[in-house]
Amino acid sequence: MSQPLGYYISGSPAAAALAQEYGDQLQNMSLDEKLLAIKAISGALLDSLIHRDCEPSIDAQILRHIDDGDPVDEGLQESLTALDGCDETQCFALLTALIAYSSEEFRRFGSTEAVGEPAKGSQLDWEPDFS
Amino acid sequence: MYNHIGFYLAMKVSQPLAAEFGDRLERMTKAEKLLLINILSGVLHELETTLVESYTTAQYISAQGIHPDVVGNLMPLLERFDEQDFSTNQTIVMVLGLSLQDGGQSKKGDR
Repeated sequence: MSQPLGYYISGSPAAAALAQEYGDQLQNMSLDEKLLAIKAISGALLDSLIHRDCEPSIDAQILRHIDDGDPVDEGLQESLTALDGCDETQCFALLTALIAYSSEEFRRFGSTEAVGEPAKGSQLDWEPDFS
Repeated sequence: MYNHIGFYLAMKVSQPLAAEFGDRLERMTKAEKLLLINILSGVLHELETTLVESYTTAQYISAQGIHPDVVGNLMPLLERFDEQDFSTNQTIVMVLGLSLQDGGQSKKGDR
């Protein structure tokens, strides 16, 4: 992996610290594990938006997944459950970081830090040469 | 600023896809984007981990017991995603995810 997960998190030192702590586990996930993590984090955030009275729980999402008969690696479950210590902003930062990290194309395209600008070498970075 | 969904779809996939989905995705609330990410990542996870050749968003919604009121008027859009391939839906998840950075502030407010 060219960059640690934390590299893709900007504007949230707390989330970057979490990525530092759980980064090895999260960034070495297989595609299906990443998809599960994205599903669990987005599900927890969605729950908290729909039901304002409930705290978002990634742990609850994972347990529901296991209840449906799909096994989850113990280490992965532990790392994801630990993310319940994050607040909503940190969860969003981790979600976007995970999504960005899931794609080789996006890693080439640029980090989420550079999302406001076209990537170097992209067609919008090209300027005509009239010389 | 180029920080919008249509731009990413156009940059990463193709102009026709951006034209078809970009504006609709961009006008969504944070909750709608999260719902789409949740459903699409769930469908992709199912396709990645099982031997099934096709798995629709409707099947996922039913299996997860997501209430129809929650999905609401997103169902026609979700059905269009069923017609896309794995990679395209992965891209849609990614652009939606990136549009949620900084907490996914929405132009028209959130539920």
